[in-house]
Parts: sequence; C-alpha cells; structure tokens
Amino acid sequence: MKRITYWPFAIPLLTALLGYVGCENAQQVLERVPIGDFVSNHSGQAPSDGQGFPALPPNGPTNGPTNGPVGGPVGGPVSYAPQGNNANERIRVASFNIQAFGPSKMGDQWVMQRLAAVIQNFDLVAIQEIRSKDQSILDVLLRYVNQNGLRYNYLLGERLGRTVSKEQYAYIYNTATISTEASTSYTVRDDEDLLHRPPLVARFVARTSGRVRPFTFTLANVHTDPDEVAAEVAVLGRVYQAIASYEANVAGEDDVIMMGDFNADAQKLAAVATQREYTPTIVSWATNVAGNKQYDNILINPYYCREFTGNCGVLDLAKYFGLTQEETKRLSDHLPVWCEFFTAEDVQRTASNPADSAVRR
Amino acid sequence: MTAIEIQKLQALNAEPTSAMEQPSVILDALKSADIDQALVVEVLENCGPPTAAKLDEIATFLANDSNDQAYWAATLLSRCDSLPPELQKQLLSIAANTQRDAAVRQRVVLALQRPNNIDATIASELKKIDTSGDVRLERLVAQVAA
Repeated sequence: MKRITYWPFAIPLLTALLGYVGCENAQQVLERVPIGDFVSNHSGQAPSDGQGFPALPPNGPTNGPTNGPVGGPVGGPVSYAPQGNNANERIRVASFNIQAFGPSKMGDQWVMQRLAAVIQNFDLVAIQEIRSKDQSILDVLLRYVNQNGLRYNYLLGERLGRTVSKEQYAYIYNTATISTEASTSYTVRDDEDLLHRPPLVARFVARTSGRVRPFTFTLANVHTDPDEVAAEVAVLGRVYQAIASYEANVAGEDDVIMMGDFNADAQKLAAVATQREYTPTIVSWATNVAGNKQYDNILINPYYCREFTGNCGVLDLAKYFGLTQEETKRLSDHLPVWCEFFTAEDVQRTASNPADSAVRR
Repeated sequence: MTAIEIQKLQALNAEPTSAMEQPSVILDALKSADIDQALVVEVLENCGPPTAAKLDEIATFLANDSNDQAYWAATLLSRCDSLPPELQKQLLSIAANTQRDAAVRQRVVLALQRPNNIDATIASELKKIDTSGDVRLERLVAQVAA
C-alpha cells in the first residue's frame, strides 16, 4: 500500500454515488456440521498441494488460450505453487458467479459439495447471483465448506433488483487467513440509479504470522445487468473512483479491488477506465464454461495495490473436477477467477516479485 | 404450472436459445409458486432476442397486471433490432402511463432504444412523457430521443 496524504478525486461523485449503509447480515462462524464426505462422493480426491493453495491445472484452463495472462509472472506461465517459505505469506482472492444460486442448487448435494470444494481453494470468494428468498442459503453452503474443520464465514449483502426477483452479493472468507467486520461493509448508494445491482463493498485484513503490517484491502462486488451492459460498464470507472475516494477518506485505504461478473471482457473494461482507475488482471482467458467468453474479472489499481503478486488465473472447473461441460454447467456457467496477494503491506520488491511489471494495460 | 411444464422449463434452461420458441411458457412461469424463480429468470436472461413471429405473443404480457411479466416482456423486446409500428405505439403508451410500475416503464423505454426503425413521431411523443422524480427514466428517454 502506498500512503495517501491527499486524494483530490471525485468528491462530487462520492456524494452522488456513495453512501454508507451498514450490512446487517454478517453471520457468525458456524460450528462444524458434517454433511457427508466430499471425497467419498467424488471420482477422485480433489487436487490440492496440501498447503492451502489451489492446485489448479499447471497449464491454465484448457478451454482458453494456452498463453498465460498478461497479469501472470514475468517470463513464464502462471505458477500455481506457493512461492514463499510460508503459505500464509500470500492469500488468494476469487470471484465466482454461481449462476442462479437458489433453492434448486441448495437442495442438490452433488452441486453443493463441489461449490464448497471450489471455495476451499481460496482465502476469500466474492459471490454473485445469490437468488434465494431463503436467507439460510449461505449457512447451508458453509456447512459443506466447513465440514472438515475449516472455519469460513460470510458477509451477505442486501437483496437487490428492480423486480420481485432479487439478487444478493456475498463474501465468503477463511477466518484463519482473513478477518473483517460487518460494520465495514455497505452497498453503494446509487442515487442516479446507474446500476441495477450496486456493488457490495467491504474491508478485509489478511492475517499474518510474522511481525509485519498486514495487507488491508477493500473489495467491491459487481454484477452488471446483461441487458444493460454498455450503460453499466460505461460508469464503472466512476463507481470505482467513488469507492476509492470514500475508502481513502474514511479508512485511509488505497487498495480497492473491484471484482465480479461484468458481462464484458478486459478490453471493454479497460476502455472505460479513462482515468486509469483500474486495470483488469484477467486479460486473455475465457471465464465461462463454454470457453468462448470473458465475463468475469478482478480490477486493481497496480500503482497502489502493490501487494498483488502478479499471479492470477481462472479455475477450470471441468478439469478440476473431471466433469463434462454439461456436468460443469450444473455448478455454474461461469468459472471462478482469482488473484494472489502478499499478506504484508509494503512488501519488499525483488526480482522474483513481478507485481510491478506484471500488469500492463 | 404442471409438472410437465416445469420439466419443459428445466429443459429450456439447459438450452436457453430454444426458449424463445415458446416465450409464453417462460413468462407464465414467472407467476408459478411451484418453480424456482431463479431458474426462470436465468432462462429469460440467457434466451437471447425473440423472433419476429413471437413478438405479438410477448406483447400480450406487457399489459399484464404482473409487473414481473411486463418487465421481462419489455426486456425481451429490448433485444430486438426492429419492432413493428403498432408495438412501438403500445410501448409508448406504457411508458407514458404514470400508474405503471417504474421498473416496467424504464424497461419499456429501453425497448425503444435499440430498434433502428423507431418512428419519429413515437420518439417525439416519448420526449413529452412525465418522468418527474425518476432520474433513470428521464435518462433513458433522453437517450431514445437522441
């Protein structure tokens, strides 16, 4: 993080776009509630490197381009192995649109076990498209996630939408590696009604084992309306700037990461960031199960967010679980996208830390 | 909604593009208490634009008391590159009706944004509708008129 002493941008936008509405749906960590063994119901043990990092396909997604993303480490393909001496030195943050996550999926054990396995790969997952009147849906999901003694928790946003059909955002995070407080979360106030579903924002802190200042960051969870993509994407730069200004003023936070299902590819997202408010990290990979579209992304400002290690990617669910495309679509038509960050602020730059040069517009 | 119709809907969800061959099934499902509404909305989001042959069928839902059905009927029409003049008039009528739900009026105006054959009189009349208190409707109307 770079310290901000003065933030001259977007104060008018701040008042127009942003409010501070406390999210009252923060939930307590559930006790371990086993609901069956994922591995025993699976054709093979879910791959893992045993150190808490996702054991992703070594060559990236099979259904995307074979070259690594621009955001990957310099000089080679994306590495999926921890690079430090201690796995806790880095965290992985993901975004996942669990397509129409409602009663049908909640009642499907096959689906829930695999969604839980996906979440267990990451320290924090921003979820889009929760469509359930039953507000226990994340409690149910966490029973699957935490069944082996893990202690994930969640923040759930308010129900959003212009019709009876509502949608919610959520953050699911591993309390062993991430901390947050519900009081830091809010739904962006959108007085101009620019977005169908205004972002859910929350502040997080990475837990560190050493005597270092922990990485603090703010996430903004976004899902654009597929029928109004052009209009909504066009204002994302303003929205990002408004959130960044607010977070800088209120919390002194400069690491603002916007993530979600934008229904737009990196090129379109970058084109509307006219003030270079952010840079897409997922540049060339498809993020849908069919392997032909890029909808999801994680947007950072690399000038401020120096804790980004340069590692990022897309989790190919079909390859990860050994599923056909049709089977994979039972989980979602989207794939999780992820980025890796150092857990310490002001991390020392080295030749092996490519964050400075890894992200390019 | 019958079990057969629910099965039909689930099949359409697996192949959303074929959903526009029977839009009434999908739009009717919005009023069904027996089916996961998340599934219905998913089909509507993914089914793409309707064919010209189905426009009249979809238009019948615009006048429906169900705001959800009217909203989604307008959304489907908003994906069309061309709309018949009579349908444009119907959309204008709903847009001008201040008694209708705001989200429905907004979507109806959105449906008049995309077509490349919007009648000049329709566009002119649209400029005159009462948008007071609704910044989004005002913005959408301005975009059509432009």
